[in-house]
Amino acid sequence: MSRLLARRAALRRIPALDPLSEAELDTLVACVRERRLTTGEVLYRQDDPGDSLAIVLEGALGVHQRPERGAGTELRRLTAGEIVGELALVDPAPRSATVSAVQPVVLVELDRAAFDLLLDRAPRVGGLLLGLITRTAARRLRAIDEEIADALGEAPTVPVLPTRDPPHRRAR
Amino acid sequence: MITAAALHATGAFPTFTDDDAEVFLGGVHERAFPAGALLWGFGTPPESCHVLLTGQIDVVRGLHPHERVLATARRGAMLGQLALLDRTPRSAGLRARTEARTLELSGSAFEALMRASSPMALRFRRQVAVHTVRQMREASRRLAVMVEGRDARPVARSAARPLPAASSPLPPVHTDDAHDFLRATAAGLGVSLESLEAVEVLSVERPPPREGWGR
Repeated sequence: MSRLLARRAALRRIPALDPLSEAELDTLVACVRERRLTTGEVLYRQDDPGDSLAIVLEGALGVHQRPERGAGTELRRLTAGEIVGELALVDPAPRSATVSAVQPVVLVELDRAAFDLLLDRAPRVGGLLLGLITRTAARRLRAIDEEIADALGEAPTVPVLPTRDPPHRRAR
Repeated sequence: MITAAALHATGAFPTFTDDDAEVFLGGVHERAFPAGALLWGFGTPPESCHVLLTGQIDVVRGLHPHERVLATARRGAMLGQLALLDRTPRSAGLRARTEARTLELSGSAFEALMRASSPMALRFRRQVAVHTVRQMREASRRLAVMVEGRDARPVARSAARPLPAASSPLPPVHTDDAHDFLRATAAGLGVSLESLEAVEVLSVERPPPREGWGR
């Protein structure tokens, strides 16, 4: 029983969920499912179908690509308050990386059915998650565009006048 | 003048009802661009977004005629929503690759839809998310091909900042009102108490959830 309220308290501490009222947070708490992972246990495996997000409450997850091929470099570490897998809620697709516990983890998962329920019955809660997902995708898209522009060899974005200083690109 | 059926045919808003489409069409302006026309340039303030009806539009960086094409949008694509989402200058320009027709939605109308919680607005917001996620995945695939080969994938990254005390234990809590708020939540959602997963934790001594839950 105490785990339920502990879960609620942990979610309350997540800045991204600040706009939720107490009642709305209760609604979210009731729609998520808690999971506990032991060290090394896999949450998402690369290429598996994805239809849920996870919010880390305790512990840490590591993100790897192709760990089974021996190229298991950790790309990112996710700790308490961080969210993973959220894009799958709006556009299900195979997982892009393997995510596993690098230490014992407590997390909550929200699957697509529960997300749809929130959008339908608790639109402010669902809408907040939707905004979070959209902004995440937008931020990543901008970053990828920068990398593509770099890979293409970006052309100057303002007229470059003769100067003794090297030309600058516009601030991004 | 474009009809709801024509909007449906673009695939831009597959979950829109006919009524949704009519409402949406009432708030947009149809625009036509000749091949080579610049819709906006890099760094300009965002004023609107577009849904592409016909033709192709390039997402570009740099100065014409030395622009680099980051992506090419086709029928049904949404363009320009990123800068409206975070109210920042355009991170890329748009140039019509071919003759193109679009529906232009003003920034104020976009923001109003993104703030609203009506069913139509939520369907719009969800589709904005879908467009953005798919554009991100497509860009990621392109980058992977360019840089590493066709096998690379986008890396999952978090949207949220970590908690201030990330490694601290969860605070102690009291349990008296847990049943009450679960009942209230179930009533609010219009579902049975048993259908809420959280009910499972009322019997604490359960085996751990099975691997792969919820997939």
